[in-house]
Amino acid sequence: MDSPRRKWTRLEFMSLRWQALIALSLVLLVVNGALAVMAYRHSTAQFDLQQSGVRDNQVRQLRGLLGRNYEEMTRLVSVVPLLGPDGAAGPVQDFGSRLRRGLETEGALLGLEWDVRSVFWITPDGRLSLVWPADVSAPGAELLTALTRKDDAATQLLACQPECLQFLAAPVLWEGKSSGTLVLGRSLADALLAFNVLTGAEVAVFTATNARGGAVPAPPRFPAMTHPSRTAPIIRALAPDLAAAPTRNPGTAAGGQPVLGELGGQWFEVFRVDGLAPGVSALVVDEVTAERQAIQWTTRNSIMLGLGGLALSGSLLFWLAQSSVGRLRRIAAALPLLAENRYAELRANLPPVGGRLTPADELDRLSETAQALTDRMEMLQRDREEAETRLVWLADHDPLTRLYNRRRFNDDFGRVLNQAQRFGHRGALLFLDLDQFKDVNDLSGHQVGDVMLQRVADELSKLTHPSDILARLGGDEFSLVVPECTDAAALACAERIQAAVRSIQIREHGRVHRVTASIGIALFPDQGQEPQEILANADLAMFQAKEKGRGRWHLFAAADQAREQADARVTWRDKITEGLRDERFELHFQPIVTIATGTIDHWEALLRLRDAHGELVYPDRFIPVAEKTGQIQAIDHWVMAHAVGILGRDPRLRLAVNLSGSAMDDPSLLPDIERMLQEHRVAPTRLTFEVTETAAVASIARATELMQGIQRLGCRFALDDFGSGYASYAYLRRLPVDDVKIDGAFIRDLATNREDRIFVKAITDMSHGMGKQVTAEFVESAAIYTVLGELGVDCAQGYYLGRPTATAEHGPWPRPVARRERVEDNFNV
Amino acid sequence: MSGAPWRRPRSAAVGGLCLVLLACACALSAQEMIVHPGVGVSAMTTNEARLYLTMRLKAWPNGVPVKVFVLPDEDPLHRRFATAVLGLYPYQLRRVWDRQVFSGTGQAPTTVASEAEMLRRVAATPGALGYVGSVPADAPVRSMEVR
Repeated sequence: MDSPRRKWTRLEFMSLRWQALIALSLVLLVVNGALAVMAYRHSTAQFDLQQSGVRDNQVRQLRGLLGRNYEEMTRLVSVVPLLGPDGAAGPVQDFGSRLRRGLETEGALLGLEWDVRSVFWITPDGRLSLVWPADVSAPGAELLTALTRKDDAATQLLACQPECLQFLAAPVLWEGKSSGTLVLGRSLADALLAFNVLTGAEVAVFTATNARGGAVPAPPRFPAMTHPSRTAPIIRALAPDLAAAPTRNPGTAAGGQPVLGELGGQWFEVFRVDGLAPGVSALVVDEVTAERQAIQWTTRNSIMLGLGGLALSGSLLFWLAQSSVGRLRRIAAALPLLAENRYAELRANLPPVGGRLTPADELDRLSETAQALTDRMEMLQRDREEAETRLVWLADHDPLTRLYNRRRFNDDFGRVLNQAQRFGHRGALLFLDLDQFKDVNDLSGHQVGDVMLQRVADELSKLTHPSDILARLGGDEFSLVVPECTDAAALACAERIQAAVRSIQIREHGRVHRVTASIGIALFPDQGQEPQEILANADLAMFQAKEKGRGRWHLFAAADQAREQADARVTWRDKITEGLRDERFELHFQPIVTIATGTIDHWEALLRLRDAHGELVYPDRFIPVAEKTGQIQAIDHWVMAHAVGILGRDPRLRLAVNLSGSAMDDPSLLPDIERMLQEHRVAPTRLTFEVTETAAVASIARATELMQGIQRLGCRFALDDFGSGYASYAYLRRLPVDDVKIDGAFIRDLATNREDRIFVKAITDMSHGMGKQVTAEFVESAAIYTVLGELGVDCAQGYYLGRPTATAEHGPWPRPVARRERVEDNFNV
Repeated sequence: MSGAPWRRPRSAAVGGLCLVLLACACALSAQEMIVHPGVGVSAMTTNEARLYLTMRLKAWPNGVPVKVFVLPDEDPLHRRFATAVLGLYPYQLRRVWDRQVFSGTGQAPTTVASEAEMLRRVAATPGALGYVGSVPADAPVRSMEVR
């Protein structure tokens, strides 16, 4: 989860809601902006259209009003000659002088009422004979010629020099003939004011001087202007724009291009009207504040509307996305808890699925998935933790027996050994190996074997203290470290363990399984400085114990080690090969006593191998190897030959010989035996063959065949270790057995164990019922011997009656046995 | 426009004449045109007076610009002066002035608040023209005769 964070060059996180909002806002901004622009454009176009109409109207009205002024003057011309006192002093010699008098007395009224600023009288010969009022500048020659056109019609002329006047020149009839031209000069004021009243627009008449091609055009003069206090500033403000504005062709009726401007919060549109007269134009000023405000208002409204729509849709989106994004955010906020294994919190934080009016959506799926993922992860986590604890436990324990395993044992033993060395404690290591456990596995299956191991482990656990280290080192090997104990205590412990193991019985399909343990004991720190060394010594001692027979213990002695090290140089296979070649195999003999008479019935020949040091090696060390390598047949043949040879030399002797399980697979065995018996002239009845019950049961068909073959020879046949394997009584009936040898495990505690007695009694009675003899092994005390007699067992074999010896001696049995300590007993094998 | 106004000035002039005579007789509700002492004119016709008052004549014969001072339209003295001396109603004067001012074609006279201010302004302004009820003896103005 903690990948290196990337260096983002942009914003690291933005909520979906914001992304959607921003996208929507951008779109809406563009759309609304476009709408606002369109609305604005539309309004301005409308405004322009409307204004253009207004302007056309105004141009028409201005021209019309000026025209009306001329019309009024035309009417006025007819009354001007009537001014003056009637019947004034002196006869009037001509119209001019009459006019002069009239003007001098009442001329002011013309100005007052009609705004006539000047009156000229031009004689028919073109002379200017009257100018009124006196200080009015006389018209220029140009004007004069324009005014005096030689026709009988009125002439209209607008001239601005310096003030703008509308001149009307009309010929006057006086006493029936044209006596001259009367010229009235009327101010534009009335026309302009009327225009202002009619249209509401201001107008300013100006004379454009130097209008064409002048490098520096002179500022225009405004001889007339409505409401100059208002209008002048506007025109001044807009003057630059006006100068730049394109003019229409002079002479056309329409107004020029309008110029829009703002002054003091008010909007004005100014356009010029050309062609009032040569060099005389007018500017019309329309106030368009209301229209401009309307446009602004409309534009502002559309913008506000757009923004309102944006806000509304945005908030709507926000509101709609509230639930979804909220849930998404909750999921997004909760999911990181997965990485922290906070599942309960995560579940609490996830948005609930359903429960809303709306149908389920993707977020519900996501939430469900997250829930499922959480459950799954939690399960996996739990499994993983369990597996971890189990692994941790497994690292130290043996799963079958729940004891420590070899690894943990080594660690703990190392610690205990260190402490022992540091504080001078003395402890013991007991190494256990179950005897013939392989047979249990082979015959009854591993389940029974496993149960057996568990039972052994339980028994051992009962016997140990918490400070002891008990472990299963693998297979059927157990080890026990007693941190502080004396030699005697260690031996007593071994005894207790063996008694406990012997007490184990497993009933399976009507069979009873029993087990014994061989125990090797090594003391530390005397018998080793390193854990492995001590363990190896205990292992070695265990083998020594096995050599004594089953269910024995042996205390390690330094001598064992030297021999073992020598042995280690040569493999068992080579040793067996050497043994066969160098005649190192020997037969030792243990007596089998008839209990009824106390005399030796016959001897069991026991195979021994003398190693290079002259030490005896017991068959359990080399027989399994020989079975694996196939040397067993050679050994079997050697034993046969040897036994038969001994029988041939000593006619009183009767022997029992052990056959391995593989002897049943050996087709050449029986013919060889027959040949040997004939060769040595030995009666077949003197020879008994022993096969272990487990070996016989493993291949019942071949065992039966072998036994029948042996009986055909006339030899006896004994079933060895009876009761330890699966041998049921059905087998006993089917197998042509002469002798039944009860397994030692049932005999050892016969004196104390009632169950064992019942068992031995049952076997004895049954065997007798089938016409078979019963022999008991492992008879180690007089008590057992006595009990066996009471139970009706025929023969007995054991240390109490005689140990295996290199020669078969004859003597009276049972001889009194010197009772020595068992411990010492075990030192002298 | 009817021809009626053309009859009225004459009657007004006659009335004005009577009023002048009456004023001369009573000297109570008299009124007199006054000018700045620097104005080189001592008498004028009614027609000229009308032209000066309506600002049509913008300069004295000696070239000094005319500065006209009047009292507000509602002032009795103004009314008396307009009717008696000029033979016009104040509204007629006002109409002319407004037309000129509103069309930018001319000026309107300067309005003063009182007779005393009128005296002061006329005395202080070169080329000034105004009117008072009666000219004080020591006033630095010259009275103008209107024939």
